[in-house]
Amino acid sequence: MPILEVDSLTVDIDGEAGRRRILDDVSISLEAGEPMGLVGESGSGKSMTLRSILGMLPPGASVVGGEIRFDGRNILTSGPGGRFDQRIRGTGISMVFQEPAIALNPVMKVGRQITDAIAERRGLSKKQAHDLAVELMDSVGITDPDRRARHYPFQLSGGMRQRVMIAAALAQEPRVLLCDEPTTALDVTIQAQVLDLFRTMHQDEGLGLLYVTHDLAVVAQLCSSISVMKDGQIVEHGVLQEVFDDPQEEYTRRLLTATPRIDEGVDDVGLAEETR
Amino acid sequence: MSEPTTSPTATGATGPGGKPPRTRGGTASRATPTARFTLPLPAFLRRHNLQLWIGAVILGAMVLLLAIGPLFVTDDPNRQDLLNTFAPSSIAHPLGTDQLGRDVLSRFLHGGRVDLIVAVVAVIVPFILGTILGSLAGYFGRWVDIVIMRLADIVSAFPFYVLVIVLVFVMGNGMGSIFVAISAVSWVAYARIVRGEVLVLREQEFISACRASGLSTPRILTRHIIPNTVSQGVIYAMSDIVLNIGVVVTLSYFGMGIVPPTADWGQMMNDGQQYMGTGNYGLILWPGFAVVIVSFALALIGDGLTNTLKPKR
Amino acid sequence: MAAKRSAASAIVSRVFAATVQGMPAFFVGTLLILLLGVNLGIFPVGGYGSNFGEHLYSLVLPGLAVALTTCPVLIRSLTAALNDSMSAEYTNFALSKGLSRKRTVIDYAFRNAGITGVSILGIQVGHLVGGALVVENVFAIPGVGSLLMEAVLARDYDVVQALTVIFGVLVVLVYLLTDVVYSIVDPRVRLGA
Repeated sequence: MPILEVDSLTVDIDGEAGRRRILDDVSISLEAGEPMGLVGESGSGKSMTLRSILGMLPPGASVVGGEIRFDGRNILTSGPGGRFDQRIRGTGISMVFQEPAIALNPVMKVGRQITDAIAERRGLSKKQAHDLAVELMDSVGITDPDRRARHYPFQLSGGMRQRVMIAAALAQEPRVLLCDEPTTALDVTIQAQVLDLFRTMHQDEGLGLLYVTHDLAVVAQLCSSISVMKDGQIVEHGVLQEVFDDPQEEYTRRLLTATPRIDEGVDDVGLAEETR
Repeated sequence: MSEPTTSPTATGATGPGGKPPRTRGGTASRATPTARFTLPLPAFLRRHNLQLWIGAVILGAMVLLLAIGPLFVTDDPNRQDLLNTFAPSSIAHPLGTDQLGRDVLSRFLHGGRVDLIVAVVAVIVPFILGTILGSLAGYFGRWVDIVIMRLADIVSAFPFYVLVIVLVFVMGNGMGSIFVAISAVSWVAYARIVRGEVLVLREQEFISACRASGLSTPRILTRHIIPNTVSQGVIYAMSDIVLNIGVVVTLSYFGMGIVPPTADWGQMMNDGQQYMGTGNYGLILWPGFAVVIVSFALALIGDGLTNTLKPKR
Repeated sequence: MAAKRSAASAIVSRVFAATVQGMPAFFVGTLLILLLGVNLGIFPVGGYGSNFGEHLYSLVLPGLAVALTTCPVLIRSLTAALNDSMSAEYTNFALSKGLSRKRTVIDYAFRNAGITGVSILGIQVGHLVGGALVVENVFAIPGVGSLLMEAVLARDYDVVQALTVIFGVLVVLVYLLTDVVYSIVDPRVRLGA
């Protein structure tokens, strides 16, 4: 049974121009330990899908249809009072945000930010929380974690901050990790290191990954299946190799050919026109 | 961002604030979902900008009252009637009379004119001065910036009221001194705002393009930089008028502003406070609440302008 | 639902701020005298008393008047700061970790908005002193503010000059204090970001 199922999710948002549909009948099925890539251009609804899964839609947006099942339970209604089940955050599903520079509290030591949620839930002492933070920082490859835990985000490099965020997201041993373009804001070399980290996490811990990106190269390296989004809808889904070799949708084909390859040179297809 | 366009299922428009409009008699409105907005309201009124209009209406009513009121209330605001002091409300004196038997309504109307005119006019010079100095400081940077901004720092090292009071003290009472004192102090706020805007503008492409195409510096400043900073200045000017009304009224309350016997709200309120023991509160309350209403309207207008004029980045 | 509730409270706080913002300090003082001093007789209508207890007692209304005239700007700036920090990405991340709403608001939103608040409070000190100067006179409290007005009305140049400098120094000292407090609460300033 899949660990995370998004079933016909439909989300509307009220804006100045009136009501708009931002997610239209989106379905995603993620097996335990499966790394899935979710690709599409900006504004196609990728990030919005992730935010709905965590019950963190922006003001004005609301789920108008569909279910999100985690471990078979519809988390949209299984919380107290039939509302979103917030207990799922951190323990069942976590998220790594795009920009570590703004997603970490600038005035709180990173060690505390890694373990504050778990410390609150389990009533850990300051000492226990710090030790746990050090352990987690060590596991995501931060050297000298005891000292670094006492640093503020601005004292760390971009790659280091992203590792901190990953450590914080994994602190409560979730079974699914949502990643919202977590390497876009990083240098290329650091990107590779962080991707390696995701790969080990998923292989060693059996973590399900839902990896949002517009970089197909990253998907190719990391994921085993892929979903393609366009205008708030999933237009294609399948095993990575099959979709790459034989895309069924015209849009996917253009998305694939729009990625420059060294062996083919730059292929100039009309994707840019499409986005206008 | 190219979000997906409105889907066919998303029905109708929504009211201000993003909430679906409340409808009475569900069936009727369901039959004609667009009927809610058949009122001939301009489009921007629907879009959150009620505040601007409410503010404009309140301020307009007040200005109209002060402008045409004296045509109907023909009593000379300075005519004394010492046999008829602190008269209660009557047909001849709708708001009664003050300690010298002068008609309170007439003094209220004439006084309001003076205070509002001074407050509004006293915005103009600081606005222009601040915009010029601020854009010079922001555009040229270096020593120009240092000189102008240190000057601004010196001015803001003194509490606003202390500086205005001292300046009026040095120059003597009266409208002229009030203008000069306010101008000397409040240009700083405009300069800071405009400088900040210019610092951002200066780095933008279209300014580089102007420079590359050989436009002269004065032309770039007057045609491309300053026009883009004006909206922020105008927004601040709304709260600056409020500040000025406070200054004028307060100075007059202390006997340092509008020279008696010219009627003005501050002087009236001072009279009212001195004779508070007589139980005659109208002299304090009428001008006081008028000031509050005008300021309230200006605050709403300021908020409304912020919503419409702020560039969406 | 929460959005509607916060919209209502936002309107209430905005209306309050817009109303009080336009009130000259002396008018607020006079209203307080009328309401709590004359009509209800709870507080003295002016003067300063003769011992410490009376001093404090007679400072209640003037203090309230100054506070009321200063708070609208603070309300507006703090609301803006809190709105920013509530919708900031770090607040979202905190919630996504499973931190409770209460802790998130305290440790993430309030903490960051508070830092902004300190600097706003510092900038406001000029207005605060101005308000105190006016209110002192309304309540006939023998402070520097009353002294300044007396000196002005008596055309005593020396006293006016001296007091102006003293006010200036006071304000600059408060700016300095603000900077010190700022560096304590904001690690980015303390540790040199």
